[in-house]
Amino acid sequence: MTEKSKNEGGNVLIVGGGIAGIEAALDLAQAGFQVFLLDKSPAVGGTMAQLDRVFPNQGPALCQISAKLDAISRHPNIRIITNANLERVKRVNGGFEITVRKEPLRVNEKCDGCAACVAVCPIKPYDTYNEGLMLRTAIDIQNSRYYPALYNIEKETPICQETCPVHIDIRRYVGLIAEGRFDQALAVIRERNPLPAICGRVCNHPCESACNRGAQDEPIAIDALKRFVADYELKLRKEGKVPYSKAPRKTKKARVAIVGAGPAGLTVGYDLALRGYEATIFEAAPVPGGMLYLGIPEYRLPRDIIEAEVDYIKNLGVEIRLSTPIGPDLTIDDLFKQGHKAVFIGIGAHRGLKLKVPGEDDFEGFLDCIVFLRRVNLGDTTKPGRKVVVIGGGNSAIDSARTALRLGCEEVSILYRRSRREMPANPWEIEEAEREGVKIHYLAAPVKILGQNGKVTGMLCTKMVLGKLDASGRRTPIPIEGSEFEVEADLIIPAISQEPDISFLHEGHGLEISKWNSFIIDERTMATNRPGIFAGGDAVTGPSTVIEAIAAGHRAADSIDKFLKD
Amino acid sequence: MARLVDEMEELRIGVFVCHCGTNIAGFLDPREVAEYAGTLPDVVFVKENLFSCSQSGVTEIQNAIKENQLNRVVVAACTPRTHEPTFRAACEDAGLNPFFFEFVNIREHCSWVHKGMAEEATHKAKDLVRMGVARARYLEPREPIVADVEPAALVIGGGVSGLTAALSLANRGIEVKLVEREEELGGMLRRIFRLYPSNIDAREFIARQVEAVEGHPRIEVFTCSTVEGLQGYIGNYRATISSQGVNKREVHVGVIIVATGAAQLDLGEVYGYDGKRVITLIELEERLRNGELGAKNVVMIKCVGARVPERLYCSRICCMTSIKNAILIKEKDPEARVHILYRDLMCYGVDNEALLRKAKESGVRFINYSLERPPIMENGRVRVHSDILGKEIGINADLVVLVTPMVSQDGVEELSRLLKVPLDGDRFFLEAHVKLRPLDFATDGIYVCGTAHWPASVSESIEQALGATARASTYLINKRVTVEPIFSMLLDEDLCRGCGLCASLCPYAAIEMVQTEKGIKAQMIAVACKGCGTCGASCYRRAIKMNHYTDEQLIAQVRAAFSG
Amino acid sequence: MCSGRVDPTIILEAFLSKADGVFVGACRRGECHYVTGNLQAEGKVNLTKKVLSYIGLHPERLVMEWMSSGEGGRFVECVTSFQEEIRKLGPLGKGEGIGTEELQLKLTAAQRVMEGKKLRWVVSKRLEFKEKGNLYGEVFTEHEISRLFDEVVMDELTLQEILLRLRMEPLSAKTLSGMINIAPSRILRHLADMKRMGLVSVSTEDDGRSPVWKAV
Repeated sequence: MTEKSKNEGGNVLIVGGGIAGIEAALDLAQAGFQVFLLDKSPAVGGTMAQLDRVFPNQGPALCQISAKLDAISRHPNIRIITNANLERVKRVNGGFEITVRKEPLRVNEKCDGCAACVAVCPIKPYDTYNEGLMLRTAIDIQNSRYYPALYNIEKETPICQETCPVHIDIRRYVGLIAEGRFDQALAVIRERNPLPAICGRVCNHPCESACNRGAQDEPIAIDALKRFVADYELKLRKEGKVPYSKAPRKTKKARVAIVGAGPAGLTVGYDLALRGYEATIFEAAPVPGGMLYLGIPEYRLPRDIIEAEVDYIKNLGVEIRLSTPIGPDLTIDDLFKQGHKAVFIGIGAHRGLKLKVPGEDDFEGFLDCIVFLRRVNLGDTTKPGRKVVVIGGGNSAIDSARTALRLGCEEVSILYRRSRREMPANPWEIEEAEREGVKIHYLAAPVKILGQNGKVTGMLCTKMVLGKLDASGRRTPIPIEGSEFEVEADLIIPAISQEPDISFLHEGHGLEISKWNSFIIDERTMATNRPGIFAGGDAVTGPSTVIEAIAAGHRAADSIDKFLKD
Repeated sequence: MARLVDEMEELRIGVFVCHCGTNIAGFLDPREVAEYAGTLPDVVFVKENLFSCSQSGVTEIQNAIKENQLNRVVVAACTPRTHEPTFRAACEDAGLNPFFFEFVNIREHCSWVHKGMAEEATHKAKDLVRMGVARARYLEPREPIVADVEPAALVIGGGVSGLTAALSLANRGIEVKLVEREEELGGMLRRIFRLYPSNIDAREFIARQVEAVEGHPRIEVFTCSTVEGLQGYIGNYRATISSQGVNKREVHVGVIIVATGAAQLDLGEVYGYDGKRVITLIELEERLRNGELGAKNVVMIKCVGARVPERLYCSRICCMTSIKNAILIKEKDPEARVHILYRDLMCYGVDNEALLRKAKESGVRFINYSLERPPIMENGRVRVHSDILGKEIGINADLVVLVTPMVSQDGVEELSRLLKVPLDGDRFFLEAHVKLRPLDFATDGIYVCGTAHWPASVSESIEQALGATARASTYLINKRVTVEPIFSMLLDEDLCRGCGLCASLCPYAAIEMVQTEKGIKAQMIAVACKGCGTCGASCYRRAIKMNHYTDEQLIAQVRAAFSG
Repeated sequence: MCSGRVDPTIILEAFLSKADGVFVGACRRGECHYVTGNLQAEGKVNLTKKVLSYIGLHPERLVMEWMSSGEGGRFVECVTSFQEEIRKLGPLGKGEGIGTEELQLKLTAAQRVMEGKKLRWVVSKRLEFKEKGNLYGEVFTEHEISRLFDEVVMDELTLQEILLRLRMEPLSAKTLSGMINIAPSRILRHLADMKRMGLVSVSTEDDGRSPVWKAV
């Protein structure tokens, strides 16, 4: 909100409307200053108004403070701004320019306090005034003793939005879809998510798991709704009814290089383009999308969808150079020499980890899941084997197993060392895989690879039992002695985890790398130890979700923007 | 401006009975009280409010005033101490002069004190309402008085509080007169070694403050001086400063800040005090500063003369001071053995807790004793019964430090009389309201800070000094003060015989005898009058009227009390 | 409102309104919110007690107690014992065996006395007399002041009562003496003074033995 007071230079902002803020306001106002008293709750009064009695005079707290509340409410020099947060403080000409974000009360001045709304309000949040000991209604006067005692609807950030790593205003877009305002719904999604059609298919949608409606019957199908509006637009676009939005004007001189066209890199490009930067994405693979393209099977994410979303970003003016790996011929330092003022590294985690069991390197018939999926996704549809065993419990394991089935493998099984409960893959994926005929052996792990004539014939496995919780919060599997059994296989696909492939870095790159080969960054700014170089996504976290990578991209883009401005 | 009710206008009294949630309604029957109020003469409107003071309650009152042309409002609720301004303002906003409001207290005076006696409480509430209505009939409109404020301040006391207050005001452009009775500014801090937890040199710190004050163009320092006379009222005080007992000067100031500090209790020769091997805490500070502790075995005895029947209060800061000194001793000489004998430890706040921990970690021993079994001094040893161990311990001591409490300064009674501000039972200055007005006196325009008020640490003293100056600045910067128009006035000049009785009785010198065309007459200075009414109750000519507490109003109330 | 505002006439107004007891609460000595108002009140209350006893009422019906606003417990104790005391004394007049009309007359006289300039002046000057002395520099002890009060109160009260009674009907000094319970010689001295002040005169009606007086 913008408000200039008549009293230039004599204005005071007080943040916090408890007794201290109130007293300060009264004294300053009395001295002739114009006072702005800011409180984040819908009314001032603070803790003191919550109390019954105060020491040492044992007086009723309310009586002591209510006169003060009355006094501030009447003082001509005091402007009370409730339901508002301090957003920005900027120094200007010896004073400050304050930006305040005021949340709406959502009840207008026609309210005459009949309280009929309270009687029918179905939302019952905890009553913070009573320290959460009881419930109140979402529409309420927070406390009739506070000032101003106005009815308001308190809207906390909905749990879905809170849970979403990129905090899309889900309630708003779902509401817009309900009203048939699809284009506006999509615009709301695009405020935070540059890949709606992709996420609409492959997002692990933690929002739905958190959705309050789930406690009632089923959660709102948030992800499917997203997919719907995104697809709807794609359809209209194909029909030529919706044009691509034009690239925003390049208002900034600085150019930014992005390494990797995965979800993190695409998000950085998207954000920077919208802010008027010239962003160029360097992609080693011949296709854009990173893991989206190379890791996720087509049956889950059709390629035309990826292309369409990438096209959307390209149309904003982001240049994507495919088959342009960063390496000895084009180092990161070269990117700076080319005139890029900042570099974002979003190379993902494309190197599969080894099983570290005897025999792993002795026989043919091993195919890391990443290699396998990449091969398939780039068009090689040859049948990889007859009896396939996938080792691991993540989405890559499931994808590999299901892809193998689709390629005609006779028998596909998954070996996972914990139980189903601990399995990191999306539950619905597991279910679908089982339904398609993938056999999953829980609580089992390989101890030795068996082979003949240089070829894999199977594995010696052991049964496991779950022990104490480990650092990841999951129970540690412990082998059961003497429980070994054999599994027959001619192809073993390890899908245990991946790490970033940092072999592209030149000598003396100077970047801090963790022992997991990931980039070490400042989590707040996404900056690496080298000024101007930022990193995010799986390259930093190890294998994670699309939406987390997008979130990292946003953070990095904000930070790059700030870096280039300074 | 609020509407004044014409004297000839018919009386239209509105009565509002507050439930105060269950505070009132839980213990008496407000409906019965309200119904009864409706039967009283000239009462044309009655309403019950759940909370009269809430925004909705106030709105109900205002609407009733407008819709029913009420010209007197009686609210039967709680105490004027907190809520009179609320309801007066409500009346004013509704166009009624705020002094047409009458407050009846049926909470503190009825429901709260007669719990479990609903019938009697209800009966009493009716009596009180009847009395309130009776008085309301005689209420008169009044307008607030606005007076000018001299943008200057008198600061009494040149210790850390006074210096801070003086600088704070002077830096706001206020002329400051700083009066210190000693030769030098600086007060108690001149005798202290280091300040914790900041670990800065107390003398250096205070010297910087003194330098800043002495070099400040807007501060005039009077050392070897006391305030000898005071006249006037907020905004216009005239103080007589006497230097060396001879030079007298009158200064004109708007506000006064009392920062006279405190002293260390001197108990004489308790525990064999000799100033050599048994010393006080301040003497320890001096030794530490001079680097001549001269002892390997130090025992500090806390609460010497504190929290005893003749001095019940806790001096609060001595625990921290002794812990600080124990750490300093240990830092200088880790071999030194320091014992602290305590009754309770007062280490409030995060920093202080950390210091206590540090002291314990550095090997300072803490032994708990009780008031009933104080430590005993023997040749070179202190014997103490440890409450925790349940047995007596003997400690070798080359040096015993007696930790005595802070006590109020000499001469506070005189100052209290001069300024007309109260002292508490321990002779510390007493604030206007323990919760809401901790730095104000009940007398407007006079403020208190630092240890004159209560034992306080240096940082607390500075906080209070800054707080008191902020309070004072509200008037000094605005240069105007609004005073409640409850003052006495001469009802009829002809009645006054100029006897001067009222002037001699007035505790505020708010009445002057002046020569008029009709002879010598009393003249009231409205801003200076506090409205005690002593003059009105004493004038044998009945020439003085005590506004808002007139004879008519009081007699009507008394009569109504017994007419139920 | 300070206890200093408590005008003795208001206290008597309460008794005239049939109060059986009057309680005055004041700040503790030296802690008066208005500096000295409580001490002024003390003088006025003590004087009023004196007046009450002269007109035949129990002076215990008027109580002054000292307490600070923080002493709720003390307030309760004071009020409880006051209430018990008054209960013991019984209803005003009845407890003293004074008839209603007589009581009304005596209280009215007392109120007139307290309104009079002499007492108002003396009671207000009490503190000053004790501390600084009167116009001639004579400092009075509490005892001397008390004696001074006694004289003034007696005189004033007698005067007012005579006046009130004569307003109702002309009476002889002897009859007045019987009514007021004061020696006829003193009544006569008052009558002589009052005649000089123009308050009374000798009535033409004569009962044959002594002159009859009436109010002017």
